[in-house]
Amino acid sequence: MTNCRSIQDKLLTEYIDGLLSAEELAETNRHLDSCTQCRNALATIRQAETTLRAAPVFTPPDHCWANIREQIEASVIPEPEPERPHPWNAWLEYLFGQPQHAAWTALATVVILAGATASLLPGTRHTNPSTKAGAALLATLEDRDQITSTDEIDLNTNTEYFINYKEEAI
Amino acid sequence: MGIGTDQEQELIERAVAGDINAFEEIYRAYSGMVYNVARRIVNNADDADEVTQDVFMSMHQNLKNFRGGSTLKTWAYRITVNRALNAAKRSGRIRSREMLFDHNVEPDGLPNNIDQGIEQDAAKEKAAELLAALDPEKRACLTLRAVDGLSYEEISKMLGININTVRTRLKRAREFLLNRSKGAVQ
Repeated sequence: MTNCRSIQDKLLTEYIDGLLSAEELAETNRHLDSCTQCRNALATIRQAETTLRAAPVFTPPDHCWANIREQIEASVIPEPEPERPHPWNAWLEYLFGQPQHAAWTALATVVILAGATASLLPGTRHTNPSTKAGAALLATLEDRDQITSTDEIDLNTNTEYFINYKEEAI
Repeated sequence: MGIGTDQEQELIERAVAGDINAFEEIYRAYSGMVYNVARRIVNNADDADEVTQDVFMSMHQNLKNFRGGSTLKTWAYRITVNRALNAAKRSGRIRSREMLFDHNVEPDGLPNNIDQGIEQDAAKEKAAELLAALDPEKRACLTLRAVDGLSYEEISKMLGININTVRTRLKRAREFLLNRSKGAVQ
């Protein structure tokens, strides 16, 4: 009786779970043969565990899968459409090559054209008809091409032509 | 119902690719195990239902990371035990608070005498009552060992606790059942 406590410590763990060494098992069995209290304790626990194993096997309710499916479908985010380049980008790329360079090339072109145009507009030193050079230039143009009016000259789009005449006039 | 390794791999690949029917097959194969393990630990139908949904949602979200180091069943089992234990602890805290205000609730729904000869159905009811008497951590350890047959080491890994703690919880769970039984006899 004196070692019931230590025996029950083993009974409730290694003994019932089959983990004792052969020597410990023999010692415990010898105690059980002579101790009704420990034998009853073991029988009670074994019965309790048999009862646990008799727990019914349940089938998950049907709504379980329905809810899971609904949650999965709700969580699926449609793949975003691939981003289409802006029509301007496509156009710039067509004109100026690689997209990362196209914008800069286009900007540089605009600046150059703007500069060239500004230099040709009336009021600038090269084209002001009130200046001597301007007057001489227009006279030359009219003589060569029988142009009667400066309105007919598209200076903006005939820069090279204009410059050649200007040089000759000067 | 289980799934063969090759079939399992194929189902995983299809499910990861978004095939809901493949994932349903995985669900059909393991939902019984998941639901019953959860139900033994949480010890009520509503929480078991919620845990089952939670487990399969988690599996679906993480399926692409599943490397096949263990079987899908082991993976599902591990998730279930942990989710169910958390749910049982949460639910236990709520019930404890409710009982503070409801004196008509009997805290110990224990069998009157487990040594009496009993019919099968009554035994099943008693199983639920026995489980209800244990706190969630002891309940998890005892059911993993006594019902599911896991070794101490497997329980230790499953619950993230050391083997001595597994042994201590098992011993205390059994002591608790033993003392309750003695009390009922007297």
